[in-house]
Amino acid sequence: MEKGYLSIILHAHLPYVRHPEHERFLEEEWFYEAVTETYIPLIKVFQALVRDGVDFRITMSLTPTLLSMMVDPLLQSRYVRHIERLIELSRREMERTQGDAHFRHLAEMYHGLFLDAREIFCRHYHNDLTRAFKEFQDLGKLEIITCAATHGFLPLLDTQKEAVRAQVKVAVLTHEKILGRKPRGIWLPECGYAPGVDEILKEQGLRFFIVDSHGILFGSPRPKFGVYAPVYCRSGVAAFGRDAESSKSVWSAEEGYPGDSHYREFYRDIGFDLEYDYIKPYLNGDGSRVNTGIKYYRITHNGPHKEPYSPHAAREKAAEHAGNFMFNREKQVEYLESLMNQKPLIVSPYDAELFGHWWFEGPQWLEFLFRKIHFDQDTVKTITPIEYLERHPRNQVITPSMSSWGYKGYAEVWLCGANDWIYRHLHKAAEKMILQAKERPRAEGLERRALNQMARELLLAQSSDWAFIMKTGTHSSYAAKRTRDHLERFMRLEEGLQKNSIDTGALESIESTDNIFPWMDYRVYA
Amino acid sequence: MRKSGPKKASSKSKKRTPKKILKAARKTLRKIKKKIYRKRLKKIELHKTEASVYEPRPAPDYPSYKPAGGFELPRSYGDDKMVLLVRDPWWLFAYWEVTQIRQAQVREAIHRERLSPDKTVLRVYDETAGAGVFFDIEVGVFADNWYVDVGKPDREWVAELGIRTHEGRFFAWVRSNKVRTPRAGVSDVLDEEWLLPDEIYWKLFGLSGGLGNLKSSMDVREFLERYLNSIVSSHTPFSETSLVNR
Repeated sequence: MEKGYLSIILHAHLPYVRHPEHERFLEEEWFYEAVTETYIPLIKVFQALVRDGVDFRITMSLTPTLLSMMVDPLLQSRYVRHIERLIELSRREMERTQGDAHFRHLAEMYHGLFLDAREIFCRHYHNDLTRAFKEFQDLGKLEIITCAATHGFLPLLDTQKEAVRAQVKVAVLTHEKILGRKPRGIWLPECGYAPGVDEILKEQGLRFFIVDSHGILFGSPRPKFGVYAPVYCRSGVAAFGRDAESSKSVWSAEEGYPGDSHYREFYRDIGFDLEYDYIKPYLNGDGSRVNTGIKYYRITHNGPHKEPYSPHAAREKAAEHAGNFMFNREKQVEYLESLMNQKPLIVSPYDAELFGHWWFEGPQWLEFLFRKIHFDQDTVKTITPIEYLERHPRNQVITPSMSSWGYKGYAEVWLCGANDWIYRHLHKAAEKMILQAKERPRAEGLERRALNQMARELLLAQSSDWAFIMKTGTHSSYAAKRTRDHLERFMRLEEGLQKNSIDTGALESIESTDNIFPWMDYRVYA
Repeated sequence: MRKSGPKKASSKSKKRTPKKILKAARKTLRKIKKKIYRKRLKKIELHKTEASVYEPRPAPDYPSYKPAGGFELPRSYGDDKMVLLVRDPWWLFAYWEVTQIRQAQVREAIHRERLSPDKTVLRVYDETAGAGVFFDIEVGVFADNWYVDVGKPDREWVAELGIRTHEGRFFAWVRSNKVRTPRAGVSDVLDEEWLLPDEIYWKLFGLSGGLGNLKSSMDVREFLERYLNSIVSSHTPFSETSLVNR
């Protein structure tokens, strides 16, 4: 009989990046990279666990922008070309490293992984990975929750409640359209919560969300069980708080597992290491060096010298770390249960891209973890948040504190010198959108199309990804350009609407460029 | 930060210089220098591309939307307004715009009372403290946004922007929305139905916050602020932004 529960939550998100106007576009590769290095490896883990009869529970948020990209035919076909380029590159690598004892087997390993990826993407799931996640959802192993439509940072958008409502409404709708059922919970972007957001979640039929630890701990009244049991907001929506201990063991630069010397070194990619002319055909169209995903070295230690990677040693390490993680959770659960006299719940959320992309062995670690939890002990059981609520429906009512899981715990990352300029424009655009939506409740034809597209542009401009990228520096000009472009398109359409003369040509090309949420109804802003 | 890979082996060749003809020797030397220079130039270019990877490219013949002319976001929208945003328990962010008309209205009102305008100030009211508790920030005429150090968590704030006269009177141009700074610590409000002995609560808290098993509640309280600064989350340290050099 278990003494407590563990809920692992993977947040899978990418901003909507789709550039039909360019053959190859650097930032689009974020999607192809994530598919190859994170989503397909995770799917393989789930497949193996199911095949071997391992019972497990995991929760994933698949954001509306990510789902939209997964079902987009252009991006799907571009992915197939991408993986075929990698298959070719790894084959050339196998030739190049022929006879090299250190690297030949690694080239072969990558070649095998890329062949697997193509097989899974094309053959198993017919280019549509949402089918894979649906499969595991239908088997009852995976709970898929939603996230705001374009990952807007809600505490900084709630100057207009309608703006927050639209982000949530469109998310729920998109989730239902693509995955076939309504989401029961939501991952707030960046765990960005402000009191009042839960009321909007309630309206849209969402039953729970996740916040960072201090969102619960600083809540009022004091939470009796800290973050080890969910709490209800006054609106009745449940909030689950992150457990910092289990987070640290994975995220921390100093203490975390991913920094182990046996694991693969991220920053030694052949895209940067090898001779330019050799690697050029496999780089992004504009010729700049990028990560290919083929890396031959292990972390070794803090310093420039790196040893060749040994998959076998890394795998053993992953198993060891999984055992360690499980052991710590067992101890934690036992201790908590004695204090609480109730079965505690440990909530461990992570960015999905940590697994496989940043931490190559992450998916292996996850697989070992689920196997060990299933076969080697019975103190801790994996669970999804809703399942816990079903077993423990009676929980304390508190108002969580405004919080986020960003650096310093509040809004600073998205509200600082690099990005604060955007808010006056985002708020103004939201104001105009709300006004137009209310004034034109029965728009038809061109008017309706313009309003729908304005809604899309506003949502795309609100992606918190842009503000984040502007703060952190890499690709910041792309992020600023996206913000400006979407605002410009919005304003152009709104102007046309006001003057009763909508430029059909411009509307058509904007529609085909920013084609997200085809079922958009501008009245989500009314 | 992108780390570049190991340096390629240099492939410049050293030509044996003919002893007799100095000119030829100089010429060869120049050739060598040219090669080195070109190689260096190449490397710099590569690094440059790495640093600013997004470069606007002329689009090929794909149908795509191109804005007419250069587009600039407007500096203001012709409104009289101020918006407050909460950054964290101690800081707010304010942005505003005030029309010429509004400024003229207020200027006139000041003159009618025979007062003389002094400074443009942002007046921040602590609404929780009760009527009339505020502080002023001199923002100057050109600012249209400000980070306000309110320094107090869990309080309500409203701000006004306007002119303070030499006589100490304040005339507002615009008034902001009301915001509340979040708590930065454990609530003092206890729920009778969900009480736990203090000792155990703090142990739980210490554990929740990932601070391990601390001995006393005082230890835990001391850690609260440090805890906030140590939040381990997404985007650190394993994101692209990580400055941890392995």
